[in-house]
Amino acid sequence: MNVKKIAVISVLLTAALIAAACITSQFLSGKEFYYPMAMLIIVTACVPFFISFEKNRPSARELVVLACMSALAVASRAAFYALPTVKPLCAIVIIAAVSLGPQTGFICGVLSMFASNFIFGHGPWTVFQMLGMGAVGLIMGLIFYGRKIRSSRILLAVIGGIISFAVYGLIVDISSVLMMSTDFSLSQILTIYASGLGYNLSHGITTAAILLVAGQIFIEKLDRIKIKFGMF
Amino acid sequence: MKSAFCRCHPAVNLIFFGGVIVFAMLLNHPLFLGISMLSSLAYAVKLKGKPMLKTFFLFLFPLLIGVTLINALTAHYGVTKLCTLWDGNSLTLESIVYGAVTGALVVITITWFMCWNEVVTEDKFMHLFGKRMPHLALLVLMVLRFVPLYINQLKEVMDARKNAGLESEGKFAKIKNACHAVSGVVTWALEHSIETADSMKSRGYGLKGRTSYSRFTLSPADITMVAAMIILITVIAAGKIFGSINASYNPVIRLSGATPLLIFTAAFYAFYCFLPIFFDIEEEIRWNRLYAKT
Repeated sequence: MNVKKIAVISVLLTAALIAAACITSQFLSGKEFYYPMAMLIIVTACVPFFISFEKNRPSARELVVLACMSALAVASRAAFYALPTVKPLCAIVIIAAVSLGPQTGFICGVLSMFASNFIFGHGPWTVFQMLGMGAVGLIMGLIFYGRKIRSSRILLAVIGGIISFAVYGLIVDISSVLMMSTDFSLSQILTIYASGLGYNLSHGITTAAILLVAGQIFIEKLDRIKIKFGMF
Repeated sequence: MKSAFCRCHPAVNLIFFGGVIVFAMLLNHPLFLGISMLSSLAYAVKLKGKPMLKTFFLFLFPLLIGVTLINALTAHYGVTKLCTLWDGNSLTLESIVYGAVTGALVVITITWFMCWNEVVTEDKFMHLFGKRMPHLALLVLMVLRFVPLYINQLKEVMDARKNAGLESEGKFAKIKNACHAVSGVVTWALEHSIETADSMKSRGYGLKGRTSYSRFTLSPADITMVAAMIILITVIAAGKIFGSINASYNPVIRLSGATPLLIFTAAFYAFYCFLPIFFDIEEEIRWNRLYAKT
């Protein structure tokens, strides 16, 4: 199975589930079903990608380099345990995506968020964090992988900061909205988003700062490994 | 081990926590929320000790208040008007109550997940889901193993640089030294990962017929627990389906009264939620008896 087939299956499955959710919500009053339904939709959307990863039988080298990047990301999150808004994790996922490709970036993001929550605690938010970080890796990989703008330090930092602020913040805060809101009016949703704004902003800024300082050095290291061992 | 329930088969843990969290989301009657909150807190305190009480009062309780406030101040449904807010909208009893119920649900979910994090460790999780996705399970386990390895290596590199007299001095010496050490560790980590991969390959990674080791087996006690949980879940679900546990807060607060069926279901629900605590007590009694005999 190739990637496009997987993507099509994933989109169809997700659309069918969203339609089913809309139809059932007509019969079941109350918001109790929103959160489980959202989690179900996210997991179902990701399953085809996981299956394709399993079916492709990744080589040992690809597997271990992926694990290595994720482990560096997790360790960096653990290093700044005391400052919850400083998460170099996102910057490292972006670096992996930029130099190893969008698919690897997606899996690296999902994996590092999942594994790091064994240290920081799983919760209903885990699924949303995984999807959010995976999306950041995917988008950054699509923009930068194999292109010339990759070597631009400032562009990498600025776009990385914006994506981590907007995409990750947007997706993860959906989980707070689903958990906390009772009537899903616009003002309520905006209030909940506003309460997370400071956190998301500082997350975006620190990601940009780390990419600015360490991004190119890190990418060079990865390129060196790629050339030395002839992989990816 | 903090709790005998931790020693149960991972499937038992999974069924219990799945049931408890799904029921918390579906049964938003105050009585049932109260039972769930009490039992989750009791079990969390048993697992984590006194720091859990501190977490509750410093983090979870303010969270409950915060969710209530957000809902009370931004939602304006309901028929019981209490007063008019500064922006001309009205503060209603319904929005406060529904906000508090939602806040309680958030707190309950987080507390059950705190218990989950203590009980379902990485190896249990991998036992449950690793068979279907061996590569992804291997990846997760490798990540979890690499993290302490890299942190140790960082310490070693820093010590080595210090003793070799390579540390720079001056204004930002600390940051500079840390950066040099981290850079070294990153290069080492990447090369080390390739070496690991080659070693894995030469030991037969990816060949057919390889199995993974697991130390979990279903014991008679586990089977009893599964049977008990299935019976309890069926009874509670039947109570919900027959409509004895209804609660709606918007636009009017409407709660099911204390019918015999409701109390009957609530008793079963309480038994289900306190199941790990009962299991622990039972184990303790049995241990003490065995200990007294010798």
